[in-house]
Amino acid sequence: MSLIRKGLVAVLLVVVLLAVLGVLFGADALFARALRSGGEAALGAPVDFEDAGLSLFAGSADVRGFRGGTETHPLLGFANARFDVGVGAALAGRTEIETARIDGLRIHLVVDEEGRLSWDPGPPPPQAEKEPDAPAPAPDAEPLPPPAERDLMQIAREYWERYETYQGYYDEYGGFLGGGDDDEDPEEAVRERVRWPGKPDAVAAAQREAAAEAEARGRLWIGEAAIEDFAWITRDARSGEPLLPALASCSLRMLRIGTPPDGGTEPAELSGDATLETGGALSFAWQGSRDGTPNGLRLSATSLPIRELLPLAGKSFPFDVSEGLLAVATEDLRFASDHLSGSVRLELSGAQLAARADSPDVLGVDAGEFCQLLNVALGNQPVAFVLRLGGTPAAPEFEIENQTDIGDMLGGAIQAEAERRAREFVDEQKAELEQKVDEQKAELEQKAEEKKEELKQEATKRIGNLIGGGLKKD
Amino acid sequence: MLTLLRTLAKAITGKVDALEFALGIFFGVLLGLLPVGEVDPGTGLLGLNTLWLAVLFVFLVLKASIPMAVLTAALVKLLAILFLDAAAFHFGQAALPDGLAVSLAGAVPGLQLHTFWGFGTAVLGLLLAVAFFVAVYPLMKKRLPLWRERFGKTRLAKALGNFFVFKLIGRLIG
Repeated sequence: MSLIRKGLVAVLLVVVLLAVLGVLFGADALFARALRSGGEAALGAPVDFEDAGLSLFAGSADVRGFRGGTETHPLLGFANARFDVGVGAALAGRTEIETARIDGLRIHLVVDEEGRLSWDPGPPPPQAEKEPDAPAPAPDAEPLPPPAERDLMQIAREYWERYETYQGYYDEYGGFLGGGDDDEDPEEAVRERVRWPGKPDAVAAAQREAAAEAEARGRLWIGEAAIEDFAWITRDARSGEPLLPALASCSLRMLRIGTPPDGGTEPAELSGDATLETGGALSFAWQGSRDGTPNGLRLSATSLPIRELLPLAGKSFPFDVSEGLLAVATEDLRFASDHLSGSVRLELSGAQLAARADSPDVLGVDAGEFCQLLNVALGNQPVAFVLRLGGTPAAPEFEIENQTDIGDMLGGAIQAEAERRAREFVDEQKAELEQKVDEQKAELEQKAEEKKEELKQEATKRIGNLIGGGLKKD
Repeated sequence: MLTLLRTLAKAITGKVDALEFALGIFFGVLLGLLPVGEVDPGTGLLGLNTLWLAVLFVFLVLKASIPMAVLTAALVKLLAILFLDAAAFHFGQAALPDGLAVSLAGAVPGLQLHTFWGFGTAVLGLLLAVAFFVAVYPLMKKRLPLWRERFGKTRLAKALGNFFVFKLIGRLIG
């Protein structure tokens, strides 16, 4: 091999070596840049962090002091995060996170004065096209109240319906978690860079199909992840109150999330435990099936303060509720797209209900009367319902099995009310009788007094006559 | 120009044989005509046409005249800019079957053969390269000894051989 040929090969090797060294030593900077641009694209908001590092040899990445959003409108942040990533998979275009740990995750959820969530990208422009196959709203669906009067569930419902209607627009220009396609049209970029671009339509169609298949299979895998010291920071600007009960502690765990690299069928798992600052506790475990069997959900919540849940769903409930505690527990809850089974137990204690103008009658009882009776019953004992679920998640069916029998409970309440009213009646009658007795007594006493006076006068008169007769004889 | 003269001088004075000379032209045509960058975004290797890189690798491994290839590639690139690229593109549009294109896109997308320009330049480049090789190699093989004999005796050959630039290049090339 001639010298010039050896030289060319050497130059090629040096270039490759420099490129490898550049990637190795510039990995942190490259990662930081990718994290910033990717984070901003994903959140649709500025992203900042104190430090970000990537080790290609170890296949790990660290991020410290991450903040998404602005100072005045923060969206989320965390103190530390560490990811162990499969390098081979990354080179193949897949993201495989073998283990991950995030400490101090904070999610900010704010509803402004107009009832708009801080994560809302806003409504689409008038010219945005609706999805042709967007599901029509259910005919019996309750219309939503004006935006400024909605609770969090109603806000979420409106967002979801809007997203389904304009999915194409949000996918292109950024959805509820930001994102969206890049502004640059890839075809346009190719035309500028390549002098003679173009390929058969059949190739373009096949590539689109392959990309769609890859997208459907998923490119993300999380083997094991833990989130420690999680908290949400919520505020309803309309009331100045939090939207959700404040968490005293919360940890979340994830197992086998995403597309398994080995085609495994072990279920995905997401679980968490939390305690509330007010003393309640929350625990859940979701199991996502990969073998065709229904998914599972275990949820247990105790001593949830109803007052703090009102911003979440208070306006979705047909009665005004105040005070009291709520406990929720699921039993063998299973669901799939065409299956829903299991039961949910709800227990209310110490709650007070009040009817609204639009509150429905219950069991043929007027709403106001029902609330009055229920409040009496709730004052005596907790009320528990078990909802036996059926149907499908999209069209759920349920039967209420009363652990506290509604008939008994209302019957007892009615009996108590009758006794109360009878007691009131008796008391009222008693007072009247006592008054009458007093009046008659006073009348009799007066008559007696008058008689006494009369007799006294009669006696005086007779004594006078007797004394007068004796003097005449003398 | 100096490179051409030097190559010619080396060929004539016996330092480059006919095959090396013809192979230089062969690879020069291919390297000059094939697009260097990827035509279909995201399918190449680091943004480059894998077929061009493969041809470059084979060219470096084989004993082909590098100066001749560089010179030919430059010349062909000029012609490509003028009209060969357009001709190759239109040829690709007319000749590339959908089925073959889909197969190539699935199996070897990096080669860019599933694009009109990539396919057209590959086919046209190969035809031109083979044509030049077939034309040049027998001619050089037949004529080179005679030219060497005649040219080696001329003052020009001696002058070229003694010119310090050529001496320097001659030492580098070995």
